[in-house]
Amino acid sequence: MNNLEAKTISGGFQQFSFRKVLFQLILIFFGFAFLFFITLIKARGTAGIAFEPFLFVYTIFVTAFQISRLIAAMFYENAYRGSVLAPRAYNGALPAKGKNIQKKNTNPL
Amino acid sequence: MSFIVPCKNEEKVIANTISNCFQAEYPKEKIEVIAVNDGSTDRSGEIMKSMAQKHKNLTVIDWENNRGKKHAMAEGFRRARGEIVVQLDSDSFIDPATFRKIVEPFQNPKIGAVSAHTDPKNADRNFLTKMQAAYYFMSFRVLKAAESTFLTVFCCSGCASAYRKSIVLPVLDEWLEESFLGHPVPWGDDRALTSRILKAGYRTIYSNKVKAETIVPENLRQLAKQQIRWKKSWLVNAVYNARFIWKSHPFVAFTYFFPLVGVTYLSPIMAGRALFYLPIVKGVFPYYHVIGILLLAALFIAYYRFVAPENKYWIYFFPWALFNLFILSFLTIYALMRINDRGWGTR
Repeated sequence: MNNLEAKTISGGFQQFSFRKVLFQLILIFFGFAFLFFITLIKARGTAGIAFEPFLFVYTIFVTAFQISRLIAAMFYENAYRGSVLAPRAYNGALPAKGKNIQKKNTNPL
Repeated sequence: MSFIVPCKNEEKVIANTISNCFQAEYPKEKIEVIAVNDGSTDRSGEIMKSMAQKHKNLTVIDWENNRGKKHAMAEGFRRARGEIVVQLDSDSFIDPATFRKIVEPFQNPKIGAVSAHTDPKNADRNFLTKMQAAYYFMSFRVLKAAESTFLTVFCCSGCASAYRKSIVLPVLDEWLEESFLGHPVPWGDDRALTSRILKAGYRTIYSNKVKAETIVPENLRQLAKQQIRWKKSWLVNAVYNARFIWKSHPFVAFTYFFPLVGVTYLSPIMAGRALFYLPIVKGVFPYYHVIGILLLAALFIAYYRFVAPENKYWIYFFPWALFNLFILSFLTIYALMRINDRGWGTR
């Protein structure tokens, strides 16, 4: 069973999701793994470049490229709204402002 | 608005696919469906004809002999009365409630094609389909979305995409006659068509607001065949795109397309070096390489969870990343070696 109930500070109940906790644990694990990885790279980075320069440069290039895709994806919604759904400019002559004057049977003068 | 549904031997799903088109939340009198029976040997043609009696806006084109999906699509484009043409695979479905969203971007006259967001319909079937669910989500919501940020999606998916007919018709013959190393190219019709639209100077985008579903391979053999076909089409198409993309979309070419080509071609070589050459010859095990790939996967998953907290397949992106490293990356070499085998190799 995935869903249990946990009491919140305010006294209400919220859904306790096993998947959510698992996700958070994984994030923490990868956070530590990431720090460990950086430490290793710092320790062995110089040796790595000398030992396997092509693989080393390739790895950095691929990582940078993949992260750039992720960053580009984050701007997707803005690009979609801004360039696709924005009202298209009308090419013909339209006034910048319009005024609606209601009028019925009044003296034109 | 016209739907084109090319079909070969899909008797189990074709009725649902056609019905799904007519359920779209769009004025019914403006919906036209063109279903092409491309030489089916099962009851697909019969089912399509019986459906034509129920739906007056359904046109069935019945071919006795198989001519290929490209020809079926081309026939649909020629006969379509609508300016916006939605191409649907015979095993794909668009959520009727989100359908209108695929038309919306065409307000911009520079938009030539729109790709819908597609998820596997049979995701819960087994471990492989769950991995594909994570991969599909990432592929659309991250990779296609990233391309769409530059309004240059390189492949408007054949599962469910919409095209502006007046842009497609002038490039239809060139697309049909596509060849590579002197032989016709039967696969990658969606990628090739998208390329022609980009070459004509139009923009292609992805819409996460249009939800579609498709049936994905349920066993390793089917998946391998599909991946080899996709990789072949990618290789052929990359050569085609490389000729014009630097002229028509220079920024995208140098920041996205050329790095992508480099990474894809080098990945099997580097994977082979890290996984086999270095451990065997130099006794260095690829801990960093594998951990690095998992960390990168974790970064993508964090974004995945952020944009789709309700999607339950995120965890399967880890095994997919390893599957990609150990198996799929090497299929690129196989696909390159078998590039002259023009068989379809479908399920």
